[in-house]
This record gives sequence, C-alpha cells and structure tokens, in this order.
Amino acid sequence: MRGSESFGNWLDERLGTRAVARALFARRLPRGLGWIYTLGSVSLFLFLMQAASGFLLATSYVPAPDQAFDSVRYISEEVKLGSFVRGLHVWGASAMVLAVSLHMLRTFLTGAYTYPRELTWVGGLFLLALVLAFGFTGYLLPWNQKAYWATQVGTRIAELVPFAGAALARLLRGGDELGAQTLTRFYAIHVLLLPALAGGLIAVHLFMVVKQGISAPPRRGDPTPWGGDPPAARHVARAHYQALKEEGQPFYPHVLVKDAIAALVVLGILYVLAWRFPPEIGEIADPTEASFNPRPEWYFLWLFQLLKYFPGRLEVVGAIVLPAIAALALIVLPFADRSRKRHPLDRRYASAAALAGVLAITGLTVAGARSPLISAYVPPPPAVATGGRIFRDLHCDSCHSIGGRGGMVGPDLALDAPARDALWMRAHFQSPTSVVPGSPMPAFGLLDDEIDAVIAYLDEVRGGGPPSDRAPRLYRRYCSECHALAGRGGDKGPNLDGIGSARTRSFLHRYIEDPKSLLTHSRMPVMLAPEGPLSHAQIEDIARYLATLREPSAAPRPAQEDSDEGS
Amino acid sequence: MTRAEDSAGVDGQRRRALATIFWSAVAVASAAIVAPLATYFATPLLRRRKLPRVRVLAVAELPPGEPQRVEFMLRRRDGWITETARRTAWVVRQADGGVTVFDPRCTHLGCAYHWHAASRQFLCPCHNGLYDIEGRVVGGPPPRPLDTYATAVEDGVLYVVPVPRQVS
Repeated sequence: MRGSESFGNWLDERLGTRAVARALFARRLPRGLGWIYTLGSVSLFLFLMQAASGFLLATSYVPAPDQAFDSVRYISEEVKLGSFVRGLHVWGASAMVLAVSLHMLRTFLTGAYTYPRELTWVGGLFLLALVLAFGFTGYLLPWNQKAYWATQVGTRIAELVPFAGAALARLLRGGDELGAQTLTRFYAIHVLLLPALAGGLIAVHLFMVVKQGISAPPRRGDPTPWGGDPPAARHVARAHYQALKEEGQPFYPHVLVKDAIAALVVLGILYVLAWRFPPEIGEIADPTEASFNPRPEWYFLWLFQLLKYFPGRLEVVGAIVLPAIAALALIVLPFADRSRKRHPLDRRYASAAALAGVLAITGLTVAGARSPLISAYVPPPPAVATGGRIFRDLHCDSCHSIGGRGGMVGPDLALDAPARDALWMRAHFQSPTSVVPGSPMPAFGLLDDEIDAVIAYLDEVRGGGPPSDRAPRLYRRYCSECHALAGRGGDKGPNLDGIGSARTRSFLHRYIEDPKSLLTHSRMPVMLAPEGPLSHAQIEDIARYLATLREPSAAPRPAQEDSDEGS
Repeated sequence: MTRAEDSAGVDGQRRRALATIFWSAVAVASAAIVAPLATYFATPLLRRRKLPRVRVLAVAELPPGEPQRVEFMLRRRDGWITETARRTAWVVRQADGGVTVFDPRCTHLGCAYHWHAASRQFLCPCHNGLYDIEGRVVGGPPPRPLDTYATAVEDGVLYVVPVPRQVS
C-alpha cells in the first residue's frame, strides 16, 4: 500500500498525474444524464475493440488477391477463436456505425451542438465519415464475391463525382480495374491512415468534451441561455452551465458507471452475435462470374437503394449531390441554428426534420434489403469451390477435359467420372498407379482435405453423383407434363435436352425447390407430391438426373436462350 | 481523488457502491475481451503442429537389402498457403523386414550422399563420409548416424513423415 502510494507520488511529481486525474474524473457534470448519454462512450469502447481485434486479424491476413481469401478462411477455420474474433470485428463495425449515428441523433435532438460545442459537433461528423470509410475499406479485405462486387459498385459511384470522378475512382482503385492495387490501397487506408486520423480526431473530440463538459439535458419550455453573440449572452450561458455543474455529480463514478454498464451490455450483444452468427467466408472473388448479385453492407444499403430512383444521368443527384447537401447542412448547422430552445418538443421543425431523415434512411435501407435479387445465382458448396481452385492451380485441365474443354491425355471427367466412387477416387489421388496400373497421372501428394475437395468438385461437375434408379420415374411423374426430353413431354416449359451442360446440380436443386427464389418471373410451380412438397432426396434425385443430361456434342454449348421461363 | 465531503455518510456509501459496480464492469469487460484475443494470438502455442505424412511407395516394390532413392511430392500447409515441394529420401528394407527411411543429407555438412553398391556403403562425396546400410558411421567426419524419418506401413504402403530425427 505504502509502496503504491509512494509510486503515485513519484509519478505525480514528474507527470502531474493527480491534476490530470482530477481534471478528467473528479470534474462535475450536470445531473440527469440518462442512458442515452452513454452512446459516445460506447462508440469509444467499440473503437478500442475494433483496434484490438483488427490488430489480431492483421497478424494473419495478406492483402493480395491470391492470398487474401485464403488467409481470411485460415482465420475463420484454423486460428483459435478466429471466427469469433473476426465476428467481433465485423459485428463491431456495424455496432459502431449504429452507435455513432445514434450518438449524433441524440446530440441533434437535444440541441447539444450549440455554443460552445460547435467544433465538437463538426469533429463528430468527421468521425462518422471515418467510421463509414472504415466500413467501406474493410469490406473489401476478405476478397470474396460480396466484397469484390460491393467495392466494384462503390468505386463506380465515385466515378459519378462531377469533373474529378474518373480520377478519383482511379485513385481509389489504384488503376483502371479492381485488383491487387485496390486491395493494398484499401488495406493501407484501413489499417494505417484511418486509425491514425480517427485516433487524432477522437483525442480532440474527447478533449473538447472534457473542456466544455457534457451539455445539460434540456428541460421542456426552459430556454437554456443561448450563447452566440453578443459576448454578454455567451457569458450568461457559461455562468448558467457552471451553476448546473456545481450542483451536479462527479464524472467518476456517478456518470462513468453508466458508461461502463452500457459498454458491457454492447459487448454482451456482440458476443452473442459473433458466436451465433459468425461472418461468412463466402467464395473467392471472381471477376468473371457475372451472375453474382452485388449488395453493399447494410449501412450503405440506403445509398444503394437511393440510386435506383435516379436513373441515367440523374444518378449523380442521388449518389453525390443529395448526400453532399445533407453533409454540408449538418456541418453548418451549429453556426446557423439561432433557436434559443433545446428540448426536442420545443424545436418542432428540427425534430421533424430529424425524424424525416431517420425514416428516409430506414425506409431506403429496408427497401434495399427487400429488393429482389436479380440474378439467379446459387453459390457452389465451399468444398466444390475449393476443389475447383485446386483443379485449376494444378492445371488438371492440361490433361483432362470437362465437357469438351481441356486436354486429351486423360479421360473426360464429366463423362468418365460417374463410374467411380469416392473410395476409388481417393486411392487414385493418393497413388494413380495403385488403381490404374501404368497410369501416367502424377501423384500430386494432395492433402486429405484437398482430395475431399477435388472429389466434391468432380462430383459437382458430373452432376452431384449418380442419380438413383427412381430418378427417371420421378422426372416423368413431376416434370414431363410441361417439359420435353428427347422429343417426348409437354411444351409449357422449355425443352430440357442437354440442360446439364447449362445448369449445375446445385442450381437445379434449388430451382426445383423454389423456382421463384432464383428467377422471379418463373411460371414453374413448387412441385407437390400427394403427401406434400417433394422431399429433399427426391429433389436431389431429379436434379442429379437432369445434371447428367449433357449436350451430345463435346463442344461448349453455344450461347443459349435465357431460360427465364423456368426449367 | 477521494474528497473529504464525499467519503463519509450516505453520499460516500453511494459513491463507493457506484465505484464497485464500475470497477466490476471494467473487470468483466476486460476479461471478456482479453481472453478471446489472447487465445487468438496464442494460436501457435495452442495448436500442435501437424506433421505432414506422405505416401511414398508400396513396400513390395522394395528389393530387400538394396537402398532405393525415392522421390516424392511433399504438399504441406504454411498457414493459409499450401505449397508443393519435391523431396527425396533413401529407403532401405532391412533384413528383418522393417523399413528404414533416411534423410538424404549427410549429417556432417548436409551434402547429398549416395549408395555405393560395390562397397555396400552410403558414401558422401564432400568429405568421404561413410555409413553402413543401417546408417551407422563407418568412416569419415560425420558426427552421428544418418537422420531418419518416422514411417508407417498401412496396407502394404509406406508412409513417411519427412522431418529428420536424430538417431542417438
């Protein structure tokens, strides 16, 4: 005890720590600061959480297109609690946008941006912009389809900026196209520039909060003396606040205890979210996959949706002009607001404007989230995607062809594979000559999970494995009334000859299960058996059966008519 | 920071209660944050390194008593990277039926040695290190017998873990 006391003295003599602690913690604040006043502290808490979890994520992340996705998957699947920590970071980002926005809304509604806190408000606006920039740059880093396409859209929006748009987009992307340079740029901005800027701004913001104190909660009908001009008015305002402080509470522990509890509650929510809903890994970014549905993160959905109402040349209005006007209005607000009242019910127009803004953004976000996905896109199962990458990385197609594309040394896998089961395939990958004496195929020494992935990929290529014997019967019973095959069957739906060359088993399965989920204007009904909807196994059987129906020619299927009418 | 007027009476009690709640919340939050983050960072300590195991050849392909130089592809994970390397080893089916796999580098300075069939010895060309068919030093400067790899035979197939182990 004596030791720590003397160490305290020792520090105090050199750094003046006691005075600093008194100024920070013993300072008095007006009474009546409710839970809504903890939002600023919660934001700060989240920022520190993001910094800590972000540092850890950076220890096993590579910002390069050929490694970024794998390193994120490594974090999620291999690192101890990796998925959880990534979950904390991803959900923490959303929580941060929410906390900072609500903090701003509270400040607006209570008129807390007025004298002498104008700069605190403006600094806070810039912090909100930084938080959004964090979100935008961080979203790309996993380098998955969602990330790639959302960033594609985001950088296209930058192109809409008048005059400087093209240059701005080039600067953001680091070139003409989204690629390696974009990733390193976004990474550097996300982990170096933005934290430095945010750290500095937060320090200034906090300094001003300590210096000016938290604005007293407004009381109905009680015109808090307004500062501004003339100097006498400012003097009255300061004296009034001073009086409120005198009869108020010390920051520690009376005010701080609420902040700590609020932060703990938010942490608890993040724990549940990160645990129950870990962020997805997705599929690796593929610039050639045209059917992906780009969607931004939820906090940019309102902007995404807004653009839909401004077609063609008017797009710049929705993307740039309106947001810029809103931002400008918020910046000049504390200098333009001459109202003497601060309670939200005493400032009907301001409160109505805030309500309208909140409703507009919420409405746009909901509309954006509900808007149907245009493209019929079914992501392949993760093992299939991994297997496909190994297949390409090892250049299997130098010797093997799939549906006519590839080398001729080995057998065509789409045609040949159905004859082999997983056991045979596994033994074959471990040692080709052990099952095919004299086979020229090299032993690649694939790891066990890699073999599983390649088998899954080849299964998918050949239609998910052989359908059972009852598949043709199921097809005749449920499909042939509308669809023709080899000249027999109805004509309400498209002819299905060779459908396996155009659609994967996963697609067909999902489509039969729920046609409208993939093609919104499909006329195909959800098929019903007498005892209810078709079972998963029945659908899978039909899907596999259809997936084996390949174009007779080995050549790639020519550009085919859009099968929008259903399959 | 304790102020005389606050440290006594009802006000003081309330203050102490609030301070207790505050520090409890700080402690819980800190533990809840530090524990997962520290676990994450300590992954290298917590995870056993999985040694890669490679299929080499069918034991039946080995002539007894004749060392064979085998080549194999070693595919292994380094974090999120999977790399393939071409590796070699010397495999001996010993007289007792057991299989020994030697690291292909001389224990002296790491040169690649070879089997000298006439003298039935492993000969390292750098400094004339000599080993017998069981890897024991029989001449030259090598400080210890040839390093070996862990092996396993399953269904007549030889697997090795190509990480050198010193034979004492």
